[in-house]
Amino acid sequence: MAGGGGGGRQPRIDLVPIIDAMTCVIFFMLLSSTFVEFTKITLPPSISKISEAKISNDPPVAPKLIGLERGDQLQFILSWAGKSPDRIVAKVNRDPENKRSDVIQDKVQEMIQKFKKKFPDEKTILMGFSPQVKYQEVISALDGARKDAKTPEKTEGTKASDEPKTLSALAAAEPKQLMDIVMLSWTEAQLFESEGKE
Amino acid sequence: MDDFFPKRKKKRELAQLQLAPLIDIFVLIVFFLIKGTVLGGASLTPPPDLKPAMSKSPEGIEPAGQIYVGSEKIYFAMINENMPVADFLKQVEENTPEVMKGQAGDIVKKLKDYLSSIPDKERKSGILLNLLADNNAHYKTVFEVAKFFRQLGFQNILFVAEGDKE
Repeated sequence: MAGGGGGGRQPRIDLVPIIDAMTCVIFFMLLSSTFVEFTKITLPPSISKISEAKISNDPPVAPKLIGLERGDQLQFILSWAGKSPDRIVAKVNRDPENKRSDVIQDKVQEMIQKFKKKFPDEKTILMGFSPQVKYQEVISALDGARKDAKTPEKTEGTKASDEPKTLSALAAAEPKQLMDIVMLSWTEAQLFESEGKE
Repeated sequence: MDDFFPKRKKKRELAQLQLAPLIDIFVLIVFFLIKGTVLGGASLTPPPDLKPAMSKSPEGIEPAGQIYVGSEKIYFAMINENMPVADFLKQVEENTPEVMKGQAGDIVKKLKDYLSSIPDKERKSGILLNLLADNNAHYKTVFEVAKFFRQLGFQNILFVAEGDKE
């Protein structure tokens, strides 16, 4: 007769499900903490200042960048109104194979940089092209306009310790805000056709 | 005597880690990660004869309706329709979308049905449209297409180009 239960079996804790669950928990914790790091915003030190709203009576600047077809070349006219209306004119050679053009992109970027030096507060630009200008050229010009808008205005050799402390300096150190680009009709561009022709 | 008091043999079992459930979990995690990265974004399937313009802009596309402007034809991907560019330009020069007839009228009707099928949740953030044009398409065509869709009620037209990594 067999007697007594007891059995001498050691109780065992099955660790596998715990390890599974812990792996999942740690994985998602790591994942979420990484995302939190990505979306963290570093705010400038708090400085209180009473701002005085300025109501400007000046006429609007309303900058327009028009791309005109001139045979093998594209002519860009960046004109603006306001108190001191003026224009910047530039010509670039078109890519015969109609590939993405760094020449167009750089020229548009340069023109907009010049304009933004004069009018740093302007955030909207109107862009239009001749009806026969190709879509690739439009995209290259848009790339140039947007590239400038995203470039932070930082001088070379700026270190974290050199960060400006005053409100105006902080504002100047902020990256330039994205310019809104409003597409103009090709009929609007045609109004410029007679201008700048040699 | 030995039989009467049998010696207890201590059997030491080798500790075993069951890897199968662990692998199961990891497979699931990897699967969802890959699915999230590959299928998470929107994708465009332009017609084979369309050569998209190249851009350096690093932005991704939004999931939305798609329209392809080729050199010869305009493809309304969300309603599986297409129309020659010349016919389209003639129509938009003569009529507003409201009074278009024939093939253009049918397309307008289908696009309106498509618009009304967009859920309110997406409607609140503005109705988007991805516009992908051939690199040789003229600005006039692209502008007129964008204008046509704005008149129909599409609020945000996204000009799409292919990424150029150089």
